[in-house]
Parts: sequence; structure tokens; C-alpha cells
Amino acid sequence: MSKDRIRVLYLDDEDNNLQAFKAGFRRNFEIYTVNNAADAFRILDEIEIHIALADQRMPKMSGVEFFERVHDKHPDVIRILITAYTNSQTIIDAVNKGRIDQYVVKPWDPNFLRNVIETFHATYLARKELKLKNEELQKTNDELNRFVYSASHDLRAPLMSILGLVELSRLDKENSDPFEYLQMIESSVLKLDSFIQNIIEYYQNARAEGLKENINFKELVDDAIAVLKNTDQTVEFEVNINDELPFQNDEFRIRVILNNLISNAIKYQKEDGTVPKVNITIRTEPKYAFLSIQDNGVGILQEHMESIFKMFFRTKSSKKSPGTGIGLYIVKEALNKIGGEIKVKSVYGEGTTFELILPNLHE
Amino acid sequence: MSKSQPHIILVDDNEIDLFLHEKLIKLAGISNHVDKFLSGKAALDYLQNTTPDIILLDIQMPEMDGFEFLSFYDRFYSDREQETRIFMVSSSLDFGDISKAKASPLVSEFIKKPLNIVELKEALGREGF
Repeated sequence: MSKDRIRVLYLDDEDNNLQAFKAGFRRNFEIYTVNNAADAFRILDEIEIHIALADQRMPKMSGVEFFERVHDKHPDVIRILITAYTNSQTIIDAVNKGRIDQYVVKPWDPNFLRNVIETFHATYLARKELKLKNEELQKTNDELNRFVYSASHDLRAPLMSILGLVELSRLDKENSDPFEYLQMIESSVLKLDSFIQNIIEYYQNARAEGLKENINFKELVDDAIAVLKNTDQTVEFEVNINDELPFQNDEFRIRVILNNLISNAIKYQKEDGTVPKVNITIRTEPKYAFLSIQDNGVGILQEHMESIFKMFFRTKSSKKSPGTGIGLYIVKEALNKIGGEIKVKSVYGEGTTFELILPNLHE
Repeated sequence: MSKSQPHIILVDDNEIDLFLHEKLIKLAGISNHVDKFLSGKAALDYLQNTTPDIILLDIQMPEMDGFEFLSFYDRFYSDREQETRIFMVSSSLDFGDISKAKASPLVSEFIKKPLNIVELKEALGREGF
């Protein structure tokens, strides 16, 4: 409990009241006392205050007026009005304009006030939690919408191509090269399959609990390269791994990250005959692992740098294996889950380097 | 405005569909004059100096989708004397996409993928081809 104190701001133009409040509660709460509204806002702007108390009668601005502005600028803060004198208009204004959460009559009883503050702190936390959950829900909802939209295209498009090819081979009786059609059907099937695999990776990443496992980077990189070599044998890999220091984190997510980044490094290669090269460097340290995946491919246009991690963002890629627009999004999501970071450096026409820092959970 | 060999351009990011559509158009005897473009931008560049009779336009394409293509087309090419009919061709089942395609004054018709010779001939026929 001591770690996260309840942060209380108390505004009163009489210093005696402020001192009495501080003396009474300094052992319980983190207390910020101010005698004017300007200082109160300075603090509210900079510190996450949970509960604001204000006296009603102050020379420049009444407590109600103060809370009206607090409600506009910091709507999450709990507002408690303290007042010695009461008339019904003040109460009406306090509720309607100041949107106060509680009304406390002076002189206050310390036990009662402590109780009020603690109860409302719980309310504050619950509201905040609700807000966070709402934001998460909103994000999930947006993703679902984009997913349905994309599914209507990316999942259907290869199927429609296949249907079209089947129809065509029925019509085209003089076709001398049936393998041409079969090859195109195969490439459509592979495209659909990679999209489905990506979606499954995405949902596994979103759901699964993070694990703490020993990571053998050499093995993960070798696995990724072995699979990708099937699609393109011309790529030259240079792998430098220094993982003598033990590294622990979630293997599934690191696998997903490596697979996607290495597959991109291969996918977005130049088509001018340049030998595609991929450099993979990994170094483990007590607190982090540093990864770098560099290619000499087409690079990323400056104007696309901000968008590449968005869901279903695609640029024009190689003709052989166009992107699905979900790979880097999954990388970013997986990194969020394990607390890693990623940086991109790219020169259009020269190549791209992804640099990652992953936290080491090994103690 | 009926022509025996209308000039048709295909705009689609999927090479297989481009191949497929060209074959179908030729097999159906609609035209032998077909040009293919893998992106909206490449097609717009080509349109600077050429006015085809028909454009078959995909919707979902990276960098510039079919609707973005239409808005560029509207700004730069839509007031030419010789008319070009634009047909949107897509596998999309998205209600928004289909409604937008049908609502656009530039678009003659929305045609579902996979492209089917009978439907294509009928759609072109309604526009006098």
C-alpha cells in the first residue's frame, strides 16, 4: 500500500486550514497544498492527482468555479467541496456546474474525511480501470472491423483467382501449357495459406500468457532460415550470434518476431539481379538482447515509415510474394507483449535494417 | 459507340487476375486490344496520352486503391471528349465498397470476381459494347 499513495490536492486561501489538513493526513496521503487556483492547475497539469479538495469561499475564484474548470481540464480527478456555510444555490451550483463528487461541511471530522478520501480513491481507480478497458475494447473493435474488411478481400481474393483459373481451363481448350494454370493455382493457395497462418499467429499472440523460457537464438534463426529457404534459395545469409549469456523470454513471440522480420527481408528484395543478402546479428547481455536484421532489398519510402506497423498496411512488394499487411503489425504486437522495442532504418532502393531490443528475464 | 475491338485496360495488383481477365476477354471475343497495369499509378501514367474505351478496375490495391484511382481520374481525365467506361471488378463483399462503387458517377457497373464471360459480356453490352 505504501508504494502507491493516494495523491490529494487541497486548495484553500487560508494557510491555517492547509497546515491543519497537512498535519492531520500527512501520514496517510501524498498531500499537495496550494492557496491559489493557478498553482493548483500547475500541479494538476504535472502530477496525476487522484482527489482534489477545495474550499468554497476564496477571494478570486470560488470552489465551485475552480471545480468547473477542473472538470473541463482534468475530468478524472475526484472533486470534493469543503464549505462552512451552506445556501441552497451553492449546493445546486456545486452539483450542476462543479460536478462535485462529495460535499464536506466544515469543520471536518478527520476520520470521516479520511474515510471519504479512501472511498473515492477506490472510485477513482475503478473509473480509470474502466476507461482502460474501454480503450482496449475500442481497439479490439477497430481491429475486428478491419479484420472483417480485410477478410472479405484478402481471404477471398486468392480463392476467386483459383475459381477464375478453373473456369478458364475449362474454356481454354487449346491451352498447351496446363502447368501454367496449376502453378498459378498453387501460388494463390500459398498466398491464402500465409494469410491464414499470420492471422493465427496474431490471435495466439493476443491471447497467450507470456512465458519465461530459455531462448536459443541460434536454433530460432536456423529454423526460420530453413523454412524460408524453400521459397527462395538465392538469398545469402550472414548470421552472427553471440548468446553465451543466458537469455529468457517468451519463445513463441520471439519466434514470431524473427520469422516475420527475416521473411520480410527476403520478400522485399530487388528485382534487378542483385544477389539478395540478409545479415542477422544477435547479442545477449544481462538485461537485454540486441538484434539486428539487415537486408539489401528495395527499402521503404520515407512517407511509409510511419504506417508500416499498422494493421493491413501494404506497400507494393515483389511480384513473387506480395505482403498481406499483417506481418509487421504482428511483430509490433508481439513486442508490446514482451516489452521489447523496434527501430527501422531504411534507404529507399538500398535496403532496410530493423533493430530490436528485447528484455532479458533471466535473473 | 460500338467498336469491333474496344481498347480495354486492366488495373489490378494481382498478376494472376490480370492474366486471367486478359485471357477471358480474348477468349470471349470481346477484344484483342488489352493492356495490363499492376498499379493505379502505372495506369494513370499511361492514361496521360491514351484514352481507352474500357477500364476494368480492381478495388483493393496497395498504395493507391480503386477509389483513390477514381478520384485522380475524376480530377484529370474525366472531361475528355472520348468516353471511357469504368467497371469495378472486385472479390470484395464489403457493403461499403460495393455501395461506393455503385454510387460513383464514374463507374458504369460493379462486377464480382471471379470474372465470368457471360456477366462481363452482358455488362459491356448494357454500355453499348
